[in-house]
Amino acid sequence: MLPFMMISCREATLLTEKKLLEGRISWWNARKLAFHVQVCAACRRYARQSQIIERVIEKRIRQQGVSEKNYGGVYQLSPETKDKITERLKRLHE
Amino acid sequence: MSDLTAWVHLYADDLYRRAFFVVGHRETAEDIVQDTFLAAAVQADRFKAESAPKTWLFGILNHKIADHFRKQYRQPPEDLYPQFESDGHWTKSHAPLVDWPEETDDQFEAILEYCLERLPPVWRAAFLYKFLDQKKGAAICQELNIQPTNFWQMIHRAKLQLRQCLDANWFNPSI
Repeated sequence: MLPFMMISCREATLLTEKKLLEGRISWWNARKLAFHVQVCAACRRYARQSQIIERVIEKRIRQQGVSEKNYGGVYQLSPETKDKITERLKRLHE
Repeated sequence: MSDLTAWVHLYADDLYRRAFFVVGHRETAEDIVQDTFLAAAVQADRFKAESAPKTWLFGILNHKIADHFRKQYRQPPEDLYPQFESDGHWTKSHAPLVDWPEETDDQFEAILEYCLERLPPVWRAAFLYKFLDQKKGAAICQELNIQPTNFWQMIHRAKLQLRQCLDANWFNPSI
């Protein structure tokens, strides 16, 4: 491989994260990343595992808009806090 | 006003779930939800009846989460990556050595929660913020008022730590 095409695992994993978030990276960086993961099994694995983590988090975020799922009450606002908020809203308009 | 108090009962749990997931702290999440409704009361004339109240409230909530992040954020003092050697290649103990199955289960989600709790709160918030509105890096940096280099460093370090924690606790629970 040409030396100027070589990047470290640290750079490769950072580019992986940028690609995941931005959807794309520059042509040049994409080539460098592609060359790197071709020869580095650990970074290939990192990229797959990183995608799995993203997929599960996206699913969790979507579920937060679904009222029925309470995760055992952990994600419920306490009735006291709801009362406090409604009280403050009323006072705001008195 | 009666609409807003009704919305507290209708949507506060959903808003709280999101806030808690991002900031990982019960009292902070409660404060953020409270601030969201108070801001909604002040901005009530900006609400357009044809839009969904829940979407509008979630928009305000995201701004409140960004406010919280900006208050908490301090520039990272050092550029430490224990996962890599000084030449940038994986250390033996941190390199991903085993493939994970593509299908995850409830246990994976539970361990992911556990691992998210172990992230520094500010990394957690920066990392999860990107999922809220599907925004790209530049827009997130602007909203969180953070330099791109520092943002990417946090995202990168957060993901490396999460992966390592999941690898140890989900895939190799004996470790």
